[in-house]
Amino acid sequence: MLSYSKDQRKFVLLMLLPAFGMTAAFFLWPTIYNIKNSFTDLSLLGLRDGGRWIGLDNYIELFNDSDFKKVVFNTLFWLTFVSVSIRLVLGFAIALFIESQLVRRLRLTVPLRMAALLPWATPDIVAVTVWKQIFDGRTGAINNKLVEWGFIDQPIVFLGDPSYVWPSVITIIVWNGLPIIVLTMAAALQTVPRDLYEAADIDGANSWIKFWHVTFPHALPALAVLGLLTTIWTFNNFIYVWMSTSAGPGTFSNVLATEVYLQAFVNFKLGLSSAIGTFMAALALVFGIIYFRYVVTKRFGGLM
Amino acid sequence: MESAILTSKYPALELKNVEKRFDSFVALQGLSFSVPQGAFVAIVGPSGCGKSTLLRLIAGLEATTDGEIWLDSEDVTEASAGERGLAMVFQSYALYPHKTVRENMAFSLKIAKRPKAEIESRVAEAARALQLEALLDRLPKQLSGGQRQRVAIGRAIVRKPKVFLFDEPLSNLDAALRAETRVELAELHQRLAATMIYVTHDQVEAMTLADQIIILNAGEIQQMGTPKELYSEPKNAFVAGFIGSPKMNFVSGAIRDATFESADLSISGLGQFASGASTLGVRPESLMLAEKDKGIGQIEVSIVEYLGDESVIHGRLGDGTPIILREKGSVEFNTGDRVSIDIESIDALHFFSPESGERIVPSPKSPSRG
Repeated sequence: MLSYSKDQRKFVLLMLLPAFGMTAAFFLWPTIYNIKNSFTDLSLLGLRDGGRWIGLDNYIELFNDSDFKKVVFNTLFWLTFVSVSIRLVLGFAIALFIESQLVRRLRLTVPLRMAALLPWATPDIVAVTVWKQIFDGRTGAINNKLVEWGFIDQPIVFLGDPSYVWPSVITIIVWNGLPIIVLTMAAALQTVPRDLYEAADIDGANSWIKFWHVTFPHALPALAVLGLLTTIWTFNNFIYVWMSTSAGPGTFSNVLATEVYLQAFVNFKLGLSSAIGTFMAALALVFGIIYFRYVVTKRFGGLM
Repeated sequence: MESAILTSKYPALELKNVEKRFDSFVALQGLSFSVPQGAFVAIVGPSGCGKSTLLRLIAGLEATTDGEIWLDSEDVTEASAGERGLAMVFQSYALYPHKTVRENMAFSLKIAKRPKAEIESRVAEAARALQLEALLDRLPKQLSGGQRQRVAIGRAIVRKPKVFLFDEPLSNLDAALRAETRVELAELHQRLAATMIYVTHDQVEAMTLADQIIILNAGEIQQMGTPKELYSEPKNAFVAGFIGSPKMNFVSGAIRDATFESADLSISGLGQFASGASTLGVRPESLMLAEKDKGIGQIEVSIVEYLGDESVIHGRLGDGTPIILREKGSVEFNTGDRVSIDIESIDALHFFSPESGERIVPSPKSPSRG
């Protein structure tokens, strides 16, 4: 353990002050301001008058609203759970393929790693815009091909049909968010000592046993950290849903991040919007605490 | 520990003309040898000689390019590592980091779907033999290097393999522990009476542990024999220089009229050797100090290493050829002193062909051998 003298401690604090000041001004103050607003009926049209203190009314309204429950479900299940699970499983599978003996023998490992990077180099706004064109009900490439090959008679409005909207949005998120999983897992796989596979060969293990007893335990810490990080990043993401569906059709694909926007700037209810924001922050905090405990306290179990 | 029953009439391991190429690089060439049941065979050579590749071919971790590998009465050339029924102790130990000592040792038996009671008793037996009982529930990272090493050996013992393979198992241990573990390995070999193949770059390990040593250089076997054979009848200059520490001295010159002459040395009475250009090989322990202006020649002392019971004197002949000699007790020399040296006996001299490096075998009717 390092120990500091009193002077050193003062110096360290002094050096930390500017960063702390910035954080306080741009994060801490807005947070407190937002929490305060969540207890008022502040309206976008009455900013000058300020809001009236109404206690927990905003929160009570939210939790009694069945539409809001659906927004929470959309956020937690579709936007977060499904898209994160698919990214983790698919990303890990692709990483395993890229780092496999077969690909290595064909000398394709590096080209494939490069190819995996490509979607990441695409900004999310650009990705969603392009995908919107691909999914388009009249002119989209997918509809054109499906009709041309005779799979369907009528084009499908992918981003406007309740049965297709979530799979379509999740496709966009997975495409754009897969590279970081693939590349991180590929890096994690490279750290598995080759000796262990050879020891397992000699112990008579087949590929399946080697995966579960050697590869997977080594990959698990990276997978867990990625899972938590992607969960936090996705849970409060506004762009994917807003850019692709504007929370529609109707409010079918509405999530917490878009609901904050809708309540504030469409319904002008800043107080209610602040309450939703505070609720989101509380949920994010749960993930944050799990992440912090896992990463900082356990330090990856000494394996990474 | 139950010992293997050595009734097979086949060698434990036999290689027939084995070759290994990596693309165009020839790693091993024309390897043929057989290992008797229960033998301890060390494979030694400088780094890059192909000894680890050879062990990996035997283990089934690499495929042979040509030739056959037989274990007991079976041709295993095409068999996978798991099917060969061997156990291997890796240089890095290669313990599964997420498994406890017990799970590490039991893993192969579990894969083979042995009954639970049998697995438990075999692990307990091995743990007792290696004093690992108190460590069975620990993870490898909670063990010292020496303990990990013992677990790696335990994992091998549990399988009751036909052949044990060791890949430089002591090179990650400190000097004291290495010497200790060397003795334990020798005891283990006696107790198990199992066949062991042991790769090392350390000729001292090979000499002390092995019944038979294979010396490998540039992918070819230089000589296979008992430690004594390699020491006293090396087939060529490479073997002679590799075995023994400090290394054998080499001086180029020629034999004429039963006398070896070089720029600085002259040794007579060599009737049993044919005349011609030859390189003298003489071990440091076969040289001794002589009275001034006597003996076979003089060296200029460059450094003296005092080891307590003996001193190792490093010097050079007039033409710069380095000479090392070992002398009992301590000596008082300064750098630059010129001292006379002599040989202990003509029998301790070796001569090698300067072209091929092969040892020139003395004719048996030599008068000096009586």
